[in-house]
This record gives sequence, C-alpha cells and structure tokens, in this order.
Amino acid sequence: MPSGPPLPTAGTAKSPTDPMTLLAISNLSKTFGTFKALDNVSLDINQGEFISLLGPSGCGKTTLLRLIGGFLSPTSGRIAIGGEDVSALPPNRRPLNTVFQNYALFPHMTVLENVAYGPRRAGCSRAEAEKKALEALEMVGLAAMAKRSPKAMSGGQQQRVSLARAVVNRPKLLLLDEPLSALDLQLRKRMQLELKQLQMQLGITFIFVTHDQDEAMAMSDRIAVMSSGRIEQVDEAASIYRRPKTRFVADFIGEANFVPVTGDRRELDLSQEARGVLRPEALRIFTRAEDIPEGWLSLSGQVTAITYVGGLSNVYLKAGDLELHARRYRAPPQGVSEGAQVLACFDPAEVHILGA
Amino acid sequence: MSQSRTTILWLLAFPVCLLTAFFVMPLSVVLISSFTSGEGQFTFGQYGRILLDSYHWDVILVTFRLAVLSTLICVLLGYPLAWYLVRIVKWRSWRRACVILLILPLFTSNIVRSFGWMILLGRTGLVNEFLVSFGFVDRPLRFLGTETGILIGLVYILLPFMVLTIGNALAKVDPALEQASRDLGAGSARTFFSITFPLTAHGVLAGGIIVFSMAISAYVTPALLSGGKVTVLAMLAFQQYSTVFDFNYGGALSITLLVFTIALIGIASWLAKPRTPELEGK
Amino acid sequence: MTMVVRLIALLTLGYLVLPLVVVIGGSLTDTRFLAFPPQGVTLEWYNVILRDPTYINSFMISALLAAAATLVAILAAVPAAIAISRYDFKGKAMLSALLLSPLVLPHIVLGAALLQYGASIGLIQNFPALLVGHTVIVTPFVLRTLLPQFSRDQVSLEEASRDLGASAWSTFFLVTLPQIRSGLISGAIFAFITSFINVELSIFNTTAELNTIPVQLFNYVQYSVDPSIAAVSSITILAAVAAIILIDWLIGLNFLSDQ
Repeated sequence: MPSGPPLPTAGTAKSPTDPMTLLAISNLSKTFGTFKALDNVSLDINQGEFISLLGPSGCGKTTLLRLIGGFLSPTSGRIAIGGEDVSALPPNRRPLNTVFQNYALFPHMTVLENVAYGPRRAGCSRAEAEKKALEALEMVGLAAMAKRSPKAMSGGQQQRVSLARAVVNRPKLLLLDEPLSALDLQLRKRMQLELKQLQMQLGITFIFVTHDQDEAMAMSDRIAVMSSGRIEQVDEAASIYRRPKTRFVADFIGEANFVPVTGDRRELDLSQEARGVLRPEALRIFTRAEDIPEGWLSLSGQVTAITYVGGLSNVYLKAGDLELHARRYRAPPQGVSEGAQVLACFDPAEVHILGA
Repeated sequence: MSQSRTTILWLLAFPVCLLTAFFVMPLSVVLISSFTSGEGQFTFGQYGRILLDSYHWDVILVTFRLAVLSTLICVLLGYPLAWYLVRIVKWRSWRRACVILLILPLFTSNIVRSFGWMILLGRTGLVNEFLVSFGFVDRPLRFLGTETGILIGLVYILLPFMVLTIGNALAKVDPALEQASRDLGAGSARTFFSITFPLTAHGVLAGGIIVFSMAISAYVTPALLSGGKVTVLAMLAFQQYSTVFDFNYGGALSITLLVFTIALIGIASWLAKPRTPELEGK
Repeated sequence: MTMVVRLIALLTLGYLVLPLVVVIGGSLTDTRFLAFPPQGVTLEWYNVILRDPTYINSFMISALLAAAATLVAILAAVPAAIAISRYDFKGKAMLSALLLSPLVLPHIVLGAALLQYGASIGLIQNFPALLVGHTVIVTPFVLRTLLPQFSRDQVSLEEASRDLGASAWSTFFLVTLPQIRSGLISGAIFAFITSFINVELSIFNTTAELNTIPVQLFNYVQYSVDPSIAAVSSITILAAVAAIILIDWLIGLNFLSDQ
C-alpha cells in the first residue's frame, strides 16, 4: 500500500446505486497525423467525485484532459456535460475551469487581477469581481498577497493562486493538469491534503491528471489507469490495488509479483503463464520447509539482492525464470543473505488472478 | 481549439493576400518575361545573352571576384572581432557598446555609408593623407573608380553580418571542450585549430555564404564607388529597367541573381545546423 | 596572441566607426567643399538643409512611407505570427519561409519585379507603388521579432484566458498584446528604419516630386559632393543611434555573450 495515511474520501455514498453522471465521454478518439493519442475512450464521471487520470507519459491522459477542456477537438466521439453535448464548444463556453501545469498566471497582472479575471469576463463589475477574488484567495490562504505580482512568488504560492483563479468561478468541473509536479516532496504532500479538503468543501468535481500513483491513490475517489491511449481500469484505489484487471495495471500500481498459480489456486503450475498477481508484502521468505504455514504455496529460489530502506526490507530473488520480490516492515529474516537458497511462500488467498 | 480551421483562414487572409499580390505575382511576372523574346515568344535567348556576350561575362567575373574577395576579408577581419567580443571582453557594458557600434552601420542607409567612403577614399581623403604622410606611398592612390575602392566599401557593409554569425557559433562552443584539450596537453594554438575552429566552422561557412550572396547582388555601394568605371551584375540589371527598358533581359539577369541567392541561402541554412562529427566505425 | 587579436578587433571596430565619424565631422566644416578633418566648425550646413524644401519634402515622404509600411506590416505580421506559432497546418513551413524571405533576397530584384508588375496595373511612380514594396520588405522584420514571443508559455496564458471565459478577441487585447508588446515595438522600429534607409526599392518609383531622402542623396552625390549631403546623412546617423538605443532598452541587444 502507498505510504502515508489514506485521506478521507467523499465517496459516492449519496446514492451508491445511481451516482449522478456529470461528464459523459463516449467513444472518444484523437489522432495526430498517424499517431493515435486516444483510442475509443469512454468514461462516466460522477458529480462531486475526485477522479484521477493516472498513467505513464504518453498514455493519453493529458490529451484526454485537453479534449475535455476544449483545447483540442476530438477526431471522433462525444463529450457531454450535464447531458449537453459540448464537443463543439470553445473553452470559454464550457462550464469548467483548468489549473494548468505551469500555472499560466498572467505576469502583467497582480494576483488579485488574475483571480478576478474570470468573474470580470462573466460580467461582474470590478468591485464585485475583486470581492469574489478575495474570497477565493482567502480559501487558499493568500489574501495577503493580493496586490503582489505572480512573478515574485514561490512555486507553491503560484500554484495556489492558480487554484483560486479556477475555483472562484464555481465551475461544475475542475481540470487539474499535474498541478503538483513542480513542487518539492514536502510541499507536495501538504498540497495534496489541501486540495482534497478544498474539493470536499466546495463539492466541485475534480479531474486530476498525474503520473504519480501515490498521489492518485492518496487523493482520489476513483482512479482511471491509462496506457497507450486506452483506459485499462477505472475503480476505487483499493480495488485497483487488490484486483488489477490487466498486467499493466498490476505492474504500474504498486509492485507486483506474477506467480503461475492454477485457476483454482490450489497449486503452482510452472508450465503455465504466470497470471497470478501477488503483492510483495504478501510474499514471505522462509529458510526451513517446516516453518511454512499450512496451505501455503512455495517456490524455491536464490536471493539476488537485499535492501533495507526506511524501515522496509526488500528481498529480491530468482526462482527459476521468475523474478520475485518480498517486502516487510522489519529487518530481513535471519539467515537470509545474498546468494542464499530460500523458500518464497504465500497464502493462495492473497493471489489475484488477472482477468478473473 | 474547435474552430481552428476558420480561425487559421481568417488570420492568414491578409498576410497571404499581401504576399501573393506583391511578392509572388511580381516575381512570377519577371520569371515569365525572362523567358520571353523581344517579339513576345518563349525563348531561352535572354539567358543565352548573359552567357554569350563577352562584355557581360566581364561584368559577371568582376562581380564574382569582388564577392569572393570581400567574403574572404570579412572572414579574416570578422573572426578576430567575433573572438574579441565573445571571449576576450569581460565587461557586459563594453560588449554591449561594441555590439551597438557593430549594428549601427546596419541602421544607416547604404548611401550614407558609401558616401563616407567616398570622402575617405578621395585623392585628398584621410586614407591617402595617412598613406602619404607616413611614407607608404609617394603620391595619392586612386581608390574611387577601382575595384579596390568598391571592395573596401563592400566589406564595410557586410562585416557586421559575418561577425554576428561567427559570434553566435563561437558563443555556443562549450568552454569545457577547450579546457579538456588543454588538460590533455595541447597548447592554445593547437586547441584553437583542432577544437575551437572546427566547431565554429559551420558558422563561418554559413556566414560566408550569406555574405557572399549579399555581395553578389550589391547595387548601391558599387554604383557609388565605381565612378562609372566598374560595373557589377546588379548595376547591369538596373540599367535594363532604368535606361535600356529591356525588361526581358533585365528579367533574365534578375532571375539569375535570385536563383543564385536562393541556392546559396539554402546551402547556408543546411550548413548552419551544428553537427557532431560522425564517429568512424572501427 | 590575445594582444594580436585584440589589436585586429579594435582596428576593425575603428574601421566600422570611421565612415560615420567622417560624415558627421564633414558636415561641420566651414568650407564650401567637403573636408575632413573639418576646417572650422559650424552648424550652417544643417541650417541650409533644414530650410531646403526638397529635403523637407523628401523627409516627409520618407517618414510617411516608413510609418505606413510599418503599420501595414504589423497588420500582416501579427495574425501571421499567431497562426504560425499556435497552429499546425499544411504549408506552414513554406509560408514562414516565404514571409521571411525578403530578408535574404536581393531587394533590387524585388524592386524590378514590382516595377514591371506595377506598370501593367498602373501602380508605378506613386505613393502606393512605393508603399507596397516597402511593406513587403519590412514585414519580415516585424514577424521575426514577434515569433519568439509566442512561446509555449504564451500559448498557455492564452488558453488560460479562454478557459476563464474570455472570447478570442478579449484574449488578444487583454493577454496576448501586453505580452508581445516589446517584440512588436522593436520589430516596428526595425521595420521603420529599414524602410527609411531603403534605396534599392525606392529608386524604381521615385520622381522629382515624390522622392525619399536616401534616393535624393543617391542622385545628388553622383553629381557633386558637398557638406550639405554630409549634414543630411549625419541626421540619419543620429536617428539610427537613437533607434538602436531604444531597441537595446526594449529587448536588449545582448548578442554574442557566452553566458
């Protein structure tokens, strides 16, 4: 599981059987020349949820976000917000706002003018707009910096101004394009918390793009894992971790061992393709066969490396063709050193079969 | 964005119309007339005249000679100046002042610059006074109306371009490479010839080609400093339009100049891309 | 070795400055013929030319022509720069190359072409004929300084503005224009100067009544050389100095530094 305590999720507890769909993406594709950035993607996003688009670079998550935002037009497919087809609408006519990766704060305007920009364009008088802007800045704790120039602010502060500028318009939908990627680790963790709290406070639906799985797991109600222009799996964080649908998801989220168990999980069949996903914390290392608990399966292998970092010990071993990884919150087991012959064992119940 | 197609069309409407009407069309007209005979028929004859008339051959030779020499001199003077500005000058304000001095001539009219040389190169001009009073010559030399005079004026016009091109190439050379060379035992001369110069060679070549193409098509400077005694290609072309009124022949001369320039610029931009030398396979 | 390079460099710099100094110095001479070093110092020649109606006329035409050409160039270059930097379309590379090509093509050829073409449609020897040619050759200067201003960051700002509800026009005036201001102004200055000093295009379409300063000087100097020419020339040199300092202040001429 990812490090750090999990954040409270808003969930879809209001009506678990029929959450209200705010954004409906149907069969969306986008090609650039011969390159297919997005391949027939469909996704329903619920009102009030915090959903992340997670995947490695090039997977299409940013393309999808920009399509939703109106900065790209789809090659085929449809985008509907609140039931209304917005596929042909320019960005300024869609009921959403974007927090850009590089913040995109107007350098020739003060912070206040930046945040007041949206309300002004919507028709508010200067006084009204500035009042709203100040409220939004209060929410992110930067009301004191209203008269400053964005150029004179730190990355974290700019990020918050950019957030205030987006939420002041009370959009139905907020798109965030890797907003925390330029921040250092400490600041990042703090901002994750603040963002989550803000989202719950305002009730706005957040679509959050990131390549960092810890971030996605910590903040999201649901995660859409993407690869090569397709959505591999959309689910709550825990479900994705425990029951990944494809090999890619299993490998991308957390770390995975792939063990060749048979369909009924009773035994190992080394001739079969390894379709059982086993997380490293579920793999135990034993030196004597007698110590192995009843019902557990075991593989014999040789230790290739041991690391001990931050209270976690990792034992890497090779069992025949399989490369395995065991992890636990303690020092490595006694008598286990590099080159040693050991038994890697697990409870079959912990195995999740791909595609099952 | 969604309506990008129409937006692009609206944005490009005016510039494209301007370009087509007053750049592409006129050049096309010249191109066509260059293939037209006096009677209005299609012919290669106009180009033939360029090649077959011995007087015109002389003009072409003079033009080339001047262009080659001025390019060479620009390299010989331009490289040291570029080196000075990039490597030797340490104060930003002095470098800035020098760059301003370098660019200043470019902001003055050709005629003003050539006029300055007319004053300097006359029989009683500063240059002759200097030469005579320091004993280099017995009597004042004639510069105006000679190729030498035109050369001095041409180099003056072209030098800033050469310095800027070489300077840019020089500025991009990683000093660590030269330090490595010294570290490995090479002296400063060897380092220059083996490391620095080759790395800037593409800049020198590109600058040289650009300067050469400008020299080939120069009009004002040769016209003023020739004293009626020297003719270059651009002057010949201009005559066809101003006095002879043979637009067809003028067209052939113009197109020749144009094609030559385009070819040179094409080569220059290909060369201007810095390339790492291919590693020989062993 | 450094000393030798330094020497050559400084001499070359001197070579670059010399003619301009000579022209300015020659304009101050108290003699009827051009002398450098000047014999006696007087501003009388400036007096003479500032009261000469032909010079005043030419100056007006040159200035008007340059201003008009710059304006039209801006109207052409700004949308072209937006289209080229923000969108991808077929023929984009060729369009950019064509728009920028007058920078490297011989102006004398362009002038001849416009003369021949203009003759067939009555566009010769008048102000519009001059304007058209000047516009074509100065547009690349504006385009060239504008294009770098449309960086990826700039595009983000425009997207942000659209995202926040602004229309395309509002975005242009509120966000784009303030950002490209320095590139636009310096490009305009380059354009103005280029038009003002141009000879190779102007000679095809000038007449006795419709003349520009450079062409007037060009014609005059082939018949007689006197300090009045130096005076006019000096004024243009000083104007050039002012323009460069202005551009340096706006966008900084920090070329050739290896920092």
